[in-house]
Amino acid sequence: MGLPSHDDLVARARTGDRTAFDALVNESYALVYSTALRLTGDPEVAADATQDAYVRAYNSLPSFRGQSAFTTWLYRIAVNVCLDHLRRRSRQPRSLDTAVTSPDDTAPLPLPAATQTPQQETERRERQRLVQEALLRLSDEHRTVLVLFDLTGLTYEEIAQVTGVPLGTVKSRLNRARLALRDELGPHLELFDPL
Amino acid sequence: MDCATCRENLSAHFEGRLSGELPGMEQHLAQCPLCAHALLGLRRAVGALQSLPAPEVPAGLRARIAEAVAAQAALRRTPVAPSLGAGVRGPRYSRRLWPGLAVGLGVAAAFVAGILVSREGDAPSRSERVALRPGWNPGAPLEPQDPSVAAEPGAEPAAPEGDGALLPPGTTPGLPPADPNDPLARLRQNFLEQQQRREQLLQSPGLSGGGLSTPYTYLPTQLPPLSYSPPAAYDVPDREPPPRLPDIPELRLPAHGASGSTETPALTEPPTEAPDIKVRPPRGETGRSSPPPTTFGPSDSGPAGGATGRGTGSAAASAVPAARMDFTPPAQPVVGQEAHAQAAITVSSDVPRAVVTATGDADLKIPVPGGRVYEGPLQAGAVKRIPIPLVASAPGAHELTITLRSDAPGADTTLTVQVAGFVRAAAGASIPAAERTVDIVFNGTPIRRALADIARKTGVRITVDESVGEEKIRKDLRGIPAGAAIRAIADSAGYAVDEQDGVFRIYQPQQ
Repeated sequence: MGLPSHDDLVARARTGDRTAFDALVNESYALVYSTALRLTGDPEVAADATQDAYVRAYNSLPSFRGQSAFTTWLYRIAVNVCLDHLRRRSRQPRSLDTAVTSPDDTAPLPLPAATQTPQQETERRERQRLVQEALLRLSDEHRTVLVLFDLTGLTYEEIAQVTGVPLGTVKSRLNRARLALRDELGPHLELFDPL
Repeated sequence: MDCATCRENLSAHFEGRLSGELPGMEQHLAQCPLCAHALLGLRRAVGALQSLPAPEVPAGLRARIAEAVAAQAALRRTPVAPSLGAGVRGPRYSRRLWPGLAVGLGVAAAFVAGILVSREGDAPSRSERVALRPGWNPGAPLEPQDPSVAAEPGAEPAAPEGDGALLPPGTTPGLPPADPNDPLARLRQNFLEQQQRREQLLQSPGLSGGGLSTPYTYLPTQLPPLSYSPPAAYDVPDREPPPRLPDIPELRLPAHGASGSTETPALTEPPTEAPDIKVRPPRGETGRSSPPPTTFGPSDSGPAGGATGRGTGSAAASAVPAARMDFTPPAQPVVGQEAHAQAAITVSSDVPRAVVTATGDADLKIPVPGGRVYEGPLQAGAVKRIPIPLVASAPGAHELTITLRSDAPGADTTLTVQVAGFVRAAAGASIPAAERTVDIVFNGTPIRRALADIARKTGVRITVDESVGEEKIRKDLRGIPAGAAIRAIADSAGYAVDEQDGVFRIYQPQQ
């Protein structure tokens, strides 16, 4: 008997199987956290949002009917939690000091990459900091579609479901968001290779 | 096609989603330096995003999630009265139990996500957190159903609604059977009472929006909508529309030709604002004459360098027809490789037979017999674009002379320009595609898109079989050559890779 598939886990979790739910958490929490982090820029906030999202998901499992994919549904919860936090926080002044600028932000490389000199490392971190800060200066709507598409890797359909926005709007918003990020990066844009 | 339409479709074009729907797009990008520049900027912006690494997940987050979910599960096991909104209420507790609430908080904190109340400005230390910080909106602890996420994405029509309130407003959640010895029951009663009091307060006429906006944690019936609410008018542009090209009648902006060897126009910097310099011989001169050659030094160019030599030569003022020649330098020219420049010629009246010749200096050759880059008629009012191939044998700037000769008196023109920016081939230019490094971090990108990104970045050709699905890829591919990256990605998703003649094919292997 092989390992249960993702769909098996979802089916079992919906009946109240905690183990199945735990397995689903295992599969997804790192990426949910990473999405929350890029959305909010704050590791503490992202950790809280991730935890909150799973608690809410757990609570709402009985009403999850499987019409969307489980992960889409989960991301909808997580994104809403993050956006809500951002909306409330925007009423208070905040500094970017809590933003993701800490040096130990990067995971250990899963593949052996060419070793880099300390200077290259510093430059790399600096570039990352610039991108994250530029991201945070975008509007919430722009940052959301950018993170979900170009970072988390959701499809347009999934993003439409997560954000509750029509498909065509997702596409045009993503286009404008990319151009807006280009503007925010300003002269630093040249530091990055075109894809 | 106009610039606004082009900008709107840049992402679709970049992702290959257009599939022939907008044929004018390629042409517009080839001719419009502003839009070409915008496309390049968009590609860099996406590159910037892709360069973000997978963040390190805080140690203990997994455990925190497990604890919080376990606490929820424990609460849900406590029996709850079956009817929602039945308005069943237990015995009232007097106000003197408020202090009890404060004490009971110590107990409640050990149990769960969010029956926490914070006073304004209070920020409890993070170490006290078991579940969530006060001030963080909690999940609804009392109800098995959390209507804050009630609207499931698939079921909902496109119009986003606030699906926020945990309970329909005004209902009272069912209360557990009153058990005076159960501290949680007392807490719940107090909590509900408090909530009803707040509800009354909020509904009282004297209080408007600003009055009670406390940093309270959310009480179930007053949770603000959490849905993602887009702006009402989807079409409202978030940025100003792209600048229109200046509409100066006598000034025709030079066209920028695509080099033809890359998929996007090779232009890497916007045109300078300096108007074209027209050189006219002094009045009164008749007959055929060549105006003094115009030479331009390097302009302040962008990183690609090499942009110089917009110029115009025009014929003697007294003779008709007059010719005008604009030069477009090649972008990113490489020593030893054919670079593509362009001359754009306009004449004020038809010239039946014109010959355009290009000549370089000692280190610049035109790989065309006799340097004749064009021979034929020139039509009045139409811009004749003539591609000029260039091959440099040394880096730096080289002089190029373009000459127009014809039977029409006065149309003859000579233009001399400095073509700058020839660089020696960088390692990347001649490395085979499969060996170019990918330098992308994938954080859950669907496999097809990941492969498309690699193909676009390195130029390697990849065929994706229809048996390949939508697996999400998480891989750090910085410094990894394209071939190895493709194999790593395919492996991680269980697919096989075939390589033939530099084309990689990904497919589901037969079992």
